[in-house]
Amino acid sequence: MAETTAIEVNIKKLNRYKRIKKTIPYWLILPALLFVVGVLWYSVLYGIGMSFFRIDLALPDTPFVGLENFFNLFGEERFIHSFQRSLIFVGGSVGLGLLLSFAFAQGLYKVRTFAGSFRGLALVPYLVSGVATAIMFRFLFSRTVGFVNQFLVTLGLERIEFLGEPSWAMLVIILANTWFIVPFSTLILLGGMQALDPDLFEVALVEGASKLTILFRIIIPLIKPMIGISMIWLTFASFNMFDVVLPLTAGGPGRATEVLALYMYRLGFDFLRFSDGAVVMTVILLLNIITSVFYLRVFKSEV
Amino acid sequence: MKKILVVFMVVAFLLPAAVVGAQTTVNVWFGREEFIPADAFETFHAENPDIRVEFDVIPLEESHVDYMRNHAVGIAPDIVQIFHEFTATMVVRGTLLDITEYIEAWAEEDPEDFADIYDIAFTLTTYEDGIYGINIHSAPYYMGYRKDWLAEAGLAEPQTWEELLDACRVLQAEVLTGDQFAYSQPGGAHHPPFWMTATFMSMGGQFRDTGTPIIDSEAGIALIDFYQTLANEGLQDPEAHAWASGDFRGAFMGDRAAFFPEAINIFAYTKDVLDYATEWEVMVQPPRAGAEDDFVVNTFGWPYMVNSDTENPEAVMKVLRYLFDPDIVSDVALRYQPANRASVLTSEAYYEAHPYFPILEEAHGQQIPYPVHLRSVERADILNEMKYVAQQVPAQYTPEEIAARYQKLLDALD
Repeated sequence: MAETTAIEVNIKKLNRYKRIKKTIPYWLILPALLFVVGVLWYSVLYGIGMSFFRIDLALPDTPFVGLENFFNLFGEERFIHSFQRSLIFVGGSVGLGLLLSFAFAQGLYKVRTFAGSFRGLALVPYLVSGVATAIMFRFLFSRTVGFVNQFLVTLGLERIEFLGEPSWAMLVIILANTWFIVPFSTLILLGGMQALDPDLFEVALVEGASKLTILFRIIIPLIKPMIGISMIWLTFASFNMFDVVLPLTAGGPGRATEVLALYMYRLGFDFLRFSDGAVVMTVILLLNIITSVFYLRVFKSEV
Repeated sequence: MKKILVVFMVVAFLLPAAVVGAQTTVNVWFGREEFIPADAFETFHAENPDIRVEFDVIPLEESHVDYMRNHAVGIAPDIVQIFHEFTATMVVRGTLLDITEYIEAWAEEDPEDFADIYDIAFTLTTYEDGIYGINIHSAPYYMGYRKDWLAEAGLAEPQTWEELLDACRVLQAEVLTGDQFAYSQPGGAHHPPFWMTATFMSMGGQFRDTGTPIIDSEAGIALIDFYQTLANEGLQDPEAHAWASGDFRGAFMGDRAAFFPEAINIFAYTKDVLDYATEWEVMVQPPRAGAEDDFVVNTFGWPYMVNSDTENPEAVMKVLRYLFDPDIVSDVALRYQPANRASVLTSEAYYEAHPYFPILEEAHGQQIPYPVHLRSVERADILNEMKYVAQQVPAQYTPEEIAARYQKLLDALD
């Protein structure tokens, strides 16, 4: 009887130990979780809360107005224009960015000599600050002293007003943004490619598959989840992009490159209409959530 | 012995705390590093051991927002330097202290010192009868031009905006080649429209009591017409409407522009690049022909404003008076922005540092501030868009149409 009790006690202890052991990972991630909740979620929730009040530093009171800020802003021509500009900007950046990321990832995957150095170099644009990127692109595309126009003149071509003409200016900010955000998505795709079993390619080659077949039938289907994550990154980095656009075009010429993130900054920190800025923040947040969910569903692994 | 040691230690620990406790701390936010006194308040601390000045640099572009946000949670500095156009918003939010009584006490206590100060030091910080700070530094936009190129074309210094445009046409046709253009100015997206409103004011532009510019007036239409002419007659770089301030300054300093509307702090750099009086010269922005009586010398200031919650207004005033002290302010004026003190601006040292100042001196004494507005940034935003539309090639609207359209938007702010 005593023996049975001792065994039961030991089993209980063991179970308790197992239970505690199971909770250890949760305890370990708790500090990070608290940090994210405290810093990020607090700001986000507070921002969403602000959008239901009229917080305008030119006015003395901050009354609760419900959804009025949303209705007012959605009716503003400038918001709609900015929304449209954002869609073009994000669409262009994601399309071009994904194409380049894939090409760079393939290149880096194939490189064997100095592979580590090349991978490190590929990250450089991401490590350069957005402001520096903007200044660099401004110098590149300036009409008078820009490198690109000097090159065009050397070829006997006409100069292009890259920063002065609305469509060209949009292209320039897409290029600058792509240059800035592509390295990280390249790494995501490269990580996916490196996880693939090289034997698959050898078998495919033996079976007579062409390189394009390998790409479209093996590589892309197998790294679909990575493509999804890469697109999530490219999309949310573009929707949130502000620090390249402000010094590069400041939303100009006119309002041709005034994307949502920039408009949000203008509303909040220039016009001092904090609650309207919070409405745009909420819109950007929703766009990011919707596109992320969409990508995760579309690019779900089928393997 | 032990007791003495204990007492000594207690005194040693408590004494510094008592000294610190007796000290008043005044926090200052400067808008640019260049405004900080060269001695970093060393002399002030020696003269006022009971006051400790702690300072930081918060760029003028964001200082008013950061200040109001900090004020809301009770951690704003005692003194903040801002673009003067935000005064109205900050007063309405109850963030600034009316220091009129301290200014009056200063005038009474030291009338000689007070007489040395230009009125603009206080008129620019006045809003609805209260004085909320001191405008130690402010500066109008003048005009720099290529004296050598005008001479080459046989042109004299233009006396009106119309003459200036004529001079631009002649220069463009007869003297300038390649990437050289007659006029250089910034576009709208990167900056507030200070350069444009300065021109508007010199053209005789008027403002409503709220600070809204009256664009659908003769001066406003002339202003729009001026920008349309520059763009449509090819008198400025085709990309000028997208330029930042560095681009248009670089164009003048890099031999690519004949005129540029600028202020004294930029002239200080210009003279290091181009030979003053031989290659380039300065002038006061001219009046509009027929509107000479309406001409005013615009000015923009970077005043030091006082926190409404400051616990030590007397200490704050001591710091402000120190910043405005002739010796201290002279150093800033020599290397950066002019100070609103007659003794500083009429000193030999100032003339030597800014050799063009004698030409501008009379105008400098007549500064009229660009009016404040409760929604000054939105006002700026509308004016920038108006200027962009005015510079479209080919012109899509008449100046009258543009004026009417943007006047409506401006009036909606009131």
